Amino acid sequence: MAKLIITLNGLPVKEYPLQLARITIGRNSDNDIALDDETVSGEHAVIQLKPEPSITDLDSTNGTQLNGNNIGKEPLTHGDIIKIGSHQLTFIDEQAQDFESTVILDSPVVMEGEGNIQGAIKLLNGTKAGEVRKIEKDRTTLGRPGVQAAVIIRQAGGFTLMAVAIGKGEITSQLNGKTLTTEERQLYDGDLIEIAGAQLQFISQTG
Amino acid sequence: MIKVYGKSDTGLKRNHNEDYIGWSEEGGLAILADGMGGHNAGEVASKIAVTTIQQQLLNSALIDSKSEIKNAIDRANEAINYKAKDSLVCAGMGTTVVVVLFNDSHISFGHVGDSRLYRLRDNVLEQLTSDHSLVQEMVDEGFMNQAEARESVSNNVITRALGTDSEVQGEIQQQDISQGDRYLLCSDGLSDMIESTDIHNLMGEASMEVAVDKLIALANVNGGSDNISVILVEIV
Repeated sequence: MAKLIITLNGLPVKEYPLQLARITIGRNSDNDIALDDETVSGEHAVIQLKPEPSITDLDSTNGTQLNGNNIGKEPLTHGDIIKIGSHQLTFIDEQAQDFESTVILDSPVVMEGEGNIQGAIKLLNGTKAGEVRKIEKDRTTLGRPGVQAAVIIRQAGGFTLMAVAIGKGEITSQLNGKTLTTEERQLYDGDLIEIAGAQLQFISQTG
Repeated sequence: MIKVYGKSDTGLKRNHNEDYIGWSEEGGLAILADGMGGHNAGEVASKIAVTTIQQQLLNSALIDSKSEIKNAIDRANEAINYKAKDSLVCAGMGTTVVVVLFNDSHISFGHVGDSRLYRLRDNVLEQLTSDHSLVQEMVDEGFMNQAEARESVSNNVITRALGTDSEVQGEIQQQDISQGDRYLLCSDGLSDMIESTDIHNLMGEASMEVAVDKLIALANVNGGSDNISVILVEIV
């Protein structure tokens, strides 16, 4: 999905996922993206995702800049930088990024102390049914060697799960009845994981 | 003394080359980096890595090669991380790196990510580095073998990179050398595309230039889905 990264004076303000076909930007609070900025007009600009992503300036007082140039209406491509008043909006089109390009799994910054989210896996079937195993590592592998594999990744804000393909083998592991992919999925308390015949439940608590 | 020949190729599927290579025969040094990040930022990261490490190592006394390499990797990490924070377009960029220093009696080498160092000695090929990648961790845990790891669609996930965090842990090692040894530094655009038996056979080609050209050509014949970089070094 495409998104905008909004920054003010170089500091990130928020990330805005572009879910609507048409997104209005301006100072007035009824805009989809309301910018509290005196140099922004009430109704300043509009982003349309179809047929191709574009941005249109709505005859604003101070204008809209795209990659440094004042514009009326221009197509948007991945990495474009829009300037509206003092705010900067970077257009990120994740589909435009290479599908196969390298992904970096950063080591999470997990603070010690209270308020941490703890995770555990409960085994629901097999001879050890009922057993609960705490997730202790940054990355915990699940599955059966040579058959199916997935990894639980500890993040600063919780845990994610992603399938790992073994050779050219098909991924059949499931999360809550849906087949997993090699994209990370957020895990929530009570989620059901099925992998290589094993049924597991993810348990989380703030400790 | 070393003799070096290297090349970097865009491959067939990418429209630009995010790898960067560098070496110095007099300085006994070879470095290869495979950058990543949107909007061509990967090129920025890999170039900073190679030039920073090269400068650092060519200007150091090299009393303790292993700690010099560690310092050079740390310095490159800082430089990339600083640039990534400084520019929105470069945000999140990173790179792998493999760096090798050749002395009279041994090599010292460091790596981060999935760029590799191989050695061909007495017609035996050995991979001297172990990838910092998700599939390698699964290999280490016995979930899959090397061939399955190479073929997995998950082989694009690396667990360490230069520049994405304020600190990085380079893996630094040392080995003795022997006259006639050949060393190969390569990006995953080579090692993911061709089998180790082919690396073995082609590394042994009499001419180093022919060896490098054939390695890259085979990676392209097999799909060329990523940038392909190769540096071949011979101990003479």
